[in-house]
Amino acid sequence: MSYFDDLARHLRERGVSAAEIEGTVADLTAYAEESGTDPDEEFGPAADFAARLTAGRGGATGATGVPGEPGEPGPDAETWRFHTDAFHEVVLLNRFGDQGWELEGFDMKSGFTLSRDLARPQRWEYHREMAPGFRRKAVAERLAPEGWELALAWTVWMYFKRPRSASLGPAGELDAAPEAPGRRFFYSRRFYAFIVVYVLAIAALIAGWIVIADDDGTAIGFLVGAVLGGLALVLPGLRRRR
Amino acid sequence: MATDRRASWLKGVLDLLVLATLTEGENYGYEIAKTLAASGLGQIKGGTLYPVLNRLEEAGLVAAEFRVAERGPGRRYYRLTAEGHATLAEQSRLWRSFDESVRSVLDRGEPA
Repeated sequence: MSYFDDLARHLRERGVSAAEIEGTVADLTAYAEESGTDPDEEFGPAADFAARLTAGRGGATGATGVPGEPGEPGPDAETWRFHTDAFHEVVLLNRFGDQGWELEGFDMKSGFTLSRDLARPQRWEYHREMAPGFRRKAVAERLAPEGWELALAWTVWMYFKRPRSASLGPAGELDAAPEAPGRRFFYSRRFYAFIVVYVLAIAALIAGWIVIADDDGTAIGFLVGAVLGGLALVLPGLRRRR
Repeated sequence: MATDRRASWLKGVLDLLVLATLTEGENYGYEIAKTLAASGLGQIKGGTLYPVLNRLEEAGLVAAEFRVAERGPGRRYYRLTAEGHATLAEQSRLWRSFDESVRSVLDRGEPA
């Protein structure tokens, strides 16, 4: 998937109209062509850029009084990214949220992107819901009264954030932010166990197929396809580990 | 340290500078970035410039129009609105006043 396809997908997920996405992508493509720069370098990770393009509230304020977007770290903010799996991510988001990290975006290449205000770090908590696209609005409306704000939506997952100060008051602020974790990859044992079980299940299925249908070629083709398809679904981050 | 401080200054005034680049007429993203770079402000990345343009558009200070190109992808052209002109004039005045105060303090601190 090209950078601009990825950007278009993130903009769609954020409710931008098809016509606007088409114009934006064409304009940015022209920019990248004219400047001769790599879009990833010029605009930053697609998920972050989509968040910055569509956000218009909170954050820093420039000279004209137009509010800055929350996804754009200021000079007093730091950014950190990490990869994990669906089994473990909410636990980790809450762990890092407690260290002042605010969820800003996600894409397959960079994983989760978080930022932290160095001057006044505050603690965050996270909640995840699974909902198809047509139910997202209803889910967001159900959680809004409890202070949950949609941080990002990706495939069927919706990630909500809430400042701990909403429930803890002043204790929601951190006196000092601990150092950013030294690792970027956090895969759980459950994830690796899932991979093993998944591969064994597919292998058993194919073995049964071969015995019953006596059709090695099709069965092996299916096996390869199923394994690769399954791995592509659950292993997006691992390709960046090397 | 000097780079960090410069980035911090630029962040506080970038929207004003973008408005100022449009006083001579409409322009598109890359040309705006080039104008700012040619003024000695360094290369502003598209990832920084476009969110600023979007916010200015949302605030009604600039208007954008997408035009299809004869060859290659089209471009979005930005122009100042009446409100943008007024905001630029007002904020420029405030910035100059601020700049004057800073200079005054710094001049006093300069060794003779």
